[in-house]
Amino acid sequence: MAVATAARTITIAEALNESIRLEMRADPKIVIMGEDIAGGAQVEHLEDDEAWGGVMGVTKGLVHEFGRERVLDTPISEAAFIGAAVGAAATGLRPIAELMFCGFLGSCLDSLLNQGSKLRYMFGGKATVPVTIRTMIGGGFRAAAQHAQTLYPMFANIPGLKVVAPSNAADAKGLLTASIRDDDPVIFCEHITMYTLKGEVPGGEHIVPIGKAAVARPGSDVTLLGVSLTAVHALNAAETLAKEGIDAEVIDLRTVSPLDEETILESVKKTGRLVIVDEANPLCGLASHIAGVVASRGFHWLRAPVGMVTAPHSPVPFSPVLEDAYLPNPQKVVSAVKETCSKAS
Amino acid sequence: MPIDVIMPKMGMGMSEGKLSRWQVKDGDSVEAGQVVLEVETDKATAEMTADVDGVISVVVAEGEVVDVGTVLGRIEPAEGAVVKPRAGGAAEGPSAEILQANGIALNVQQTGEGPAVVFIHGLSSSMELWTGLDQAGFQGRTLISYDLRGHGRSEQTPGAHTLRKHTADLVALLETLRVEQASLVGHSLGAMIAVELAASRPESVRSLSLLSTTAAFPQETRNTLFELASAATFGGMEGIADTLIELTFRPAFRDANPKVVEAIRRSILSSDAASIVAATRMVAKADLRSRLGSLQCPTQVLVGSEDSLTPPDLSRQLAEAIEGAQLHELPDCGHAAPVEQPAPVTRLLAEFV
Repeated sequence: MAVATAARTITIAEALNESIRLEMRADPKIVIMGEDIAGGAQVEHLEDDEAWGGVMGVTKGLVHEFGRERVLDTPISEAAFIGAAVGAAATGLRPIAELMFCGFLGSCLDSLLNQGSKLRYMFGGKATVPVTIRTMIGGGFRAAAQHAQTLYPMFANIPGLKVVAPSNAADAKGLLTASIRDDDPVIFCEHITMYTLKGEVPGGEHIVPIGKAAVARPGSDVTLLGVSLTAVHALNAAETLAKEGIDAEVIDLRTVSPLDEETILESVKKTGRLVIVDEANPLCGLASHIAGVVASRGFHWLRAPVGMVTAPHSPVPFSPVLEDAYLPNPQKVVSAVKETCSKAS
Repeated sequence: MPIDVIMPKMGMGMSEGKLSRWQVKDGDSVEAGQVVLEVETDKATAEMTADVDGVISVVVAEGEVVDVGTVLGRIEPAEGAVVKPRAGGAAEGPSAEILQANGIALNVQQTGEGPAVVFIHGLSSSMELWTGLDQAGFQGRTLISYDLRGHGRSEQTPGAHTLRKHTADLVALLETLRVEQASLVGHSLGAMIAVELAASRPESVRSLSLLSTTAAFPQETRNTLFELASAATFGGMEGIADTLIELTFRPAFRDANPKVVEAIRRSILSSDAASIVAATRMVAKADLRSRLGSLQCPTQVLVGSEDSLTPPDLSRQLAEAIEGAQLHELPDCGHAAPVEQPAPVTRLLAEFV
């Protein structure tokens, strides 16, 4: 009986589950750990079904196939289990840890900032830290300031960490597989509102290389750049703009670090205009960094100032009205593009 | 097995009812869902429908007043026909009833007199699996079939499925029915339960007939089963119905019997996904190899020659590991042996139990 290899339309959650399952089958060194990723505190042994499979159900069922020695429910202490994951990676395992919300980085920063990201460099390449930290980013879930942050710029600011953030189910599977196999620590960012988003996903082994942006929609008038949910916003905006005669190219960044500068510059060279869409806070953020890259390496191609649609420099509001106003959306992107295209040159 | 049409209990106080009119004649072909007779009480009248495609025989004449549960007529199912799920009170009565056993509600059917034979269906199926067997072949036997927990009309239970839980269900069911010893006929997962019971309570089991099964699945099949469980976890039964059907029936049978396959697809789609997921994981992990050496009762192993889910090799290994077990390989037969080849399956079972 053949393992399913045909492409199917599945959710991002299922695509992530499939990636983890296939990798765990192939590599006995992979363990997964996190809060409630198997069953939660009520469960004493394998005969009881998992309650959660992680807070968003991504790891549902894995404990049945791989057992509790490889699917580890941890205490509610990010300092302890992210530290354990980094340590296990440094000493021979290939762990995948679920840091439920990226804001919990605050509880385990030392493991990533001073340990995981530095070991390979400090030991002259003799140590590797092949850990993958899956973590949720983003607002829109009415989850308030601590549980709605978008912190990939903070992760990306740490040399030695790789940072990825897929926008669709196929990339979710392919990038997670690449992240698990990578010998460096990878922060794998999953947008909180996107788990049920469906897309066609190849069966069997599927790898999307880290560090390579995708041209999600070719166009000639303006480049829209997004990552994770903002790549989806950019695609939606491009559809609207097409009806108004503006042909937008959309770049889905997919990886925040290392940054695929070449794909960005190539597109800007073609279109001469760039609008960056980013849900992170803007100060020292992803949008401003990419604007800087384009200003220093591609200024001569620009026909208008770089447009930026970002969150404001404020915590994510709890009020639904304010949260909606806070977040980037396709309408804001359309307005920004029109402004960019209206500027002379 | 023929499906009985019984006098329904249409209200709390109803103990008897009148068969006011037959809408079909003895020997007529009927279709599932077709109105076959009318019954009336002093409060109400109701139409009774056929539960299955087949040929009906009249048992009770028009105008007679009979007790609730009395068999009014019998339908001999057409080959491969699948029993339509009944609604409401029609399921009550002696032919199929909900019994409490092991703390859950199990849908049980019991007919005939004599030593008990218990039929145990497999994953994502129900007691309807056995509908095609010829009951006449089992004279002098009490035939008992039931829906496993989470299957058919039995209770959907939360949490994991384990062979221990399923075996405890069967033990409790036998106790409730006051059956001290039974011949067990199990298909696929049902055969695993039968083996587990025979190994843990040998005194309860007179003989074992193990159809289309294995003591443990090879790793590749385990992977497939875990993938099915995962697909149903995220996408419900819709995501796995086609694969289940492909694993269950050989292509020639699917092509020749589209109506049967369609009925089974509908039945699969109406299953409780959480129960099927839990049972699928249990089957994937099941390993009964250490139990086989202790089996003492007469055992026969039946397998379809074209079974792709539990191929003949697995049955060969199973039969070799059980002392004195007979092996029968059925030609032109896939995994669903009782549906694809009811006649030889009936003959082999009837001779053995």
